[in-house]
Amino acid sequence: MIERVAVTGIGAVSALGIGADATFDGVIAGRRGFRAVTLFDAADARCRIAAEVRRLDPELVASPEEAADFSRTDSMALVAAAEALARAGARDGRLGVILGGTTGGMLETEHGLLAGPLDRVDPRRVARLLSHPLDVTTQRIARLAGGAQRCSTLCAACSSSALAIAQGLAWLRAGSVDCVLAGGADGLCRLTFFGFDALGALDNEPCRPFDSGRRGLGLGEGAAFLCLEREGAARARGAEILAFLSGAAAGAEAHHITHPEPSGARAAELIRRALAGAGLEPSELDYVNAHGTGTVQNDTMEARALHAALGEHAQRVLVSSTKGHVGHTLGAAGALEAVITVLAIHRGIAPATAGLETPEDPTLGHVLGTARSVPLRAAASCSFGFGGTGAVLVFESASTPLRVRSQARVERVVVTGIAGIGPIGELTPGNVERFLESAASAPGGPLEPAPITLLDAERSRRFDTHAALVTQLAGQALVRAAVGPGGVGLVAGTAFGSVERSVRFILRAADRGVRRANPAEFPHLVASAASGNASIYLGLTGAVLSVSDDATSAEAAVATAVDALRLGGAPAFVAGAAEGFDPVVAEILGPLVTAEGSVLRSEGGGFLVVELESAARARVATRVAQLEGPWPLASAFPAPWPRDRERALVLVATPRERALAALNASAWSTCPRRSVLRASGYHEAVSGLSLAAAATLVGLGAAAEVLVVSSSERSDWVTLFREPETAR
Amino acid sequence: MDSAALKSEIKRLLIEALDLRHKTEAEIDDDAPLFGEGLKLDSLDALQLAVALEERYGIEIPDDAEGRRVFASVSAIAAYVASRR
Repeated sequence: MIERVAVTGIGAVSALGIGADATFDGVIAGRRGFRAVTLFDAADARCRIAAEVRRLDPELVASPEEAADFSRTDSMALVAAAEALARAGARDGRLGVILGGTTGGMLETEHGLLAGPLDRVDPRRVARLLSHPLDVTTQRIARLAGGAQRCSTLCAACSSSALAIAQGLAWLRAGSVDCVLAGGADGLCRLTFFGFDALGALDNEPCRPFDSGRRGLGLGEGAAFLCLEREGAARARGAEILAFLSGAAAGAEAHHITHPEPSGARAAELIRRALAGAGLEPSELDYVNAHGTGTVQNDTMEARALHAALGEHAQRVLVSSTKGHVGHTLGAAGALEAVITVLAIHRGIAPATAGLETPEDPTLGHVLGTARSVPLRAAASCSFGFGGTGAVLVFESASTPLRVRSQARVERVVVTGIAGIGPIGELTPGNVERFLESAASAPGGPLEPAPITLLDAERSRRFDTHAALVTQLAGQALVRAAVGPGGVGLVAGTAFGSVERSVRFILRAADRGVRRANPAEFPHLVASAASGNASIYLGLTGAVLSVSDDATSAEAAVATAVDALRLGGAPAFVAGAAEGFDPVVAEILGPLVTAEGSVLRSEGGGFLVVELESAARARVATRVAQLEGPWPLASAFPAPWPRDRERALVLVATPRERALAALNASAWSTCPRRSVLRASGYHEAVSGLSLAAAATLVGLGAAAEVLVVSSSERSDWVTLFREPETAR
Repeated sequence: MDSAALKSEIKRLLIEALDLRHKTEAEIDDDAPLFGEGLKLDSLDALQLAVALEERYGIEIPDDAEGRRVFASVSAIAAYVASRR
């Protein structure tokens, strides 16, 4: 039996107030946070209201010097994270930090862009532009918490922070950390506001989720975090347990970039899977905090999904959406609604849906009018987003009796498919040696020929280079693994995604007017657009998300996939990283300068199909290599010693001092070292290509063991590939 | 501008605004449906096309049944544009 996961801390920032209790009190009182937009000029937009956070003060948690560099998203994240840590009280052991979000420091990027041309760059503006990557916020939270042993930053559109909390559950069940601070943060910005406005998705009156007269969603902003730990540790230190996180499920619809799959069948499957993971029958669910955006499409789909998943109980279960109070906070919504759900259970009060007067579906157990006081034993929080991504979390009352749960499987993971690409072409077993030539010198700039050539032109017409690379590499890796797409998950790593495309969108809206913003462009600008597009193109219905960890995003992606596999989340995952050549990033960051000289920026990446060994054996798949790790590089070198130094090899993805020093102090110090850097040029997904090359070398028998060492300014990782064992 | 020239201009606009790089002007039939079948455009394309037509010709496409009739084909768009200029 495994331990339950307890929620011991919560923190939130929303339009209703600073603090989880302030937010929840506002929800229960029926307050609505919408007012005229003040953060930027929205006078020409169709919608001009949003649920903005007021009286945000980052100096509550940081010195004035530090706070001066914060994005609005950083400030909200740090205030909410500090509250969650304080409420959890003194803890010890290894901390993990997981952040879900969509636009990070976009508001500040926009201020920078609209201030003047890029070539007259003020150093402070560069710092602001580079605070755009979501993982900058994660690192700031880790520093606030006094350091973290493991960090992860992910994006799955409007289900981002629900997936972050699901990942926290996976980390605690796998035992890789002792406490997890998981949540999300998203500040309001022009990109999302004008984007949703161009789609005609916003209501200029406060939104009315589930109402038959609803006309769209209302955007909000905020941040929320949960402190999660295993029950035993929480009880041992006498911490107050607010609720248990009992189950989580994530998946994708493989349907459309903006429209939910109308029958609700996929969403229903997620609700059923999350309940099953919690060991609950549908009839045991007392409350559902619905995604309930107020758009025609979402709310109809979600009502159908609740009926399909819960049967007759859908009429009795209390259902509400709190987006009529706090707005749709996008990447923060999953965590903000999780905090509201935890407090609903803890205080025994189910919020009503603000704005709902005439339910479109009166057979659902809507909470109308005012909040209802009633003991809540179990509650679900649902999140769905662009690209068809979704996650459902199940919480239970702290007083629920212990139930027997299945053990998480700590089983070996194998690689069954590989794909990689760089300026010299596709990575194959026949040309892997060319990728490793130290004398090679890759041209900088975009790949030639265009990587999109393998994709159907009609179906990929809106893809940018990044989405095309992810789709092509993931698709090739799956074909080579001979895995069908059903149930398969995708984790795509990227440091930057599509900066140039976002810049173009914002500048166009500024130059030609908000009403001329490109509606079809907007859904492709969210950081998870590439994974969403790839899942739709390839038909993947497992968990689909993007992760961001600078130049080690590939390792973060593969580690996320491995954790999810061991929790039984999908039969297989395809995971890796790709980076498209982005002129804006290239201009700001320039070439990579190492001790051996500078390497020009290019594009490319690599993906692996990973499966549990038992699953690969069961379908008689070719096991190319056994995968160990990826491990974040901490004080002790995490990889085992090489079995035979004569047949072992080290691939260094990016040579940085800290990681090389750790390598030199390890048993791997005398093994030969190679790198793809000279042949591939530099981009943040070089580590993805390195992982692909390492697995290829093991598959060829060119080496018995290959260790990949990757590093960025922020983190270092090691990953080990070994020959698969033939004996059972 | 005569009708053939206007239709040709609208086809170029479609290709550019809707990322139809895989299509040529000759491949787009004047009277074939644009949405669902034919070019297989979707609701996102309809929004994008409305923005593009407004920008190029200064006309507003109503978001109702009339708008849907305007978007039936290249010929229908051309007729609407011609009638509003």
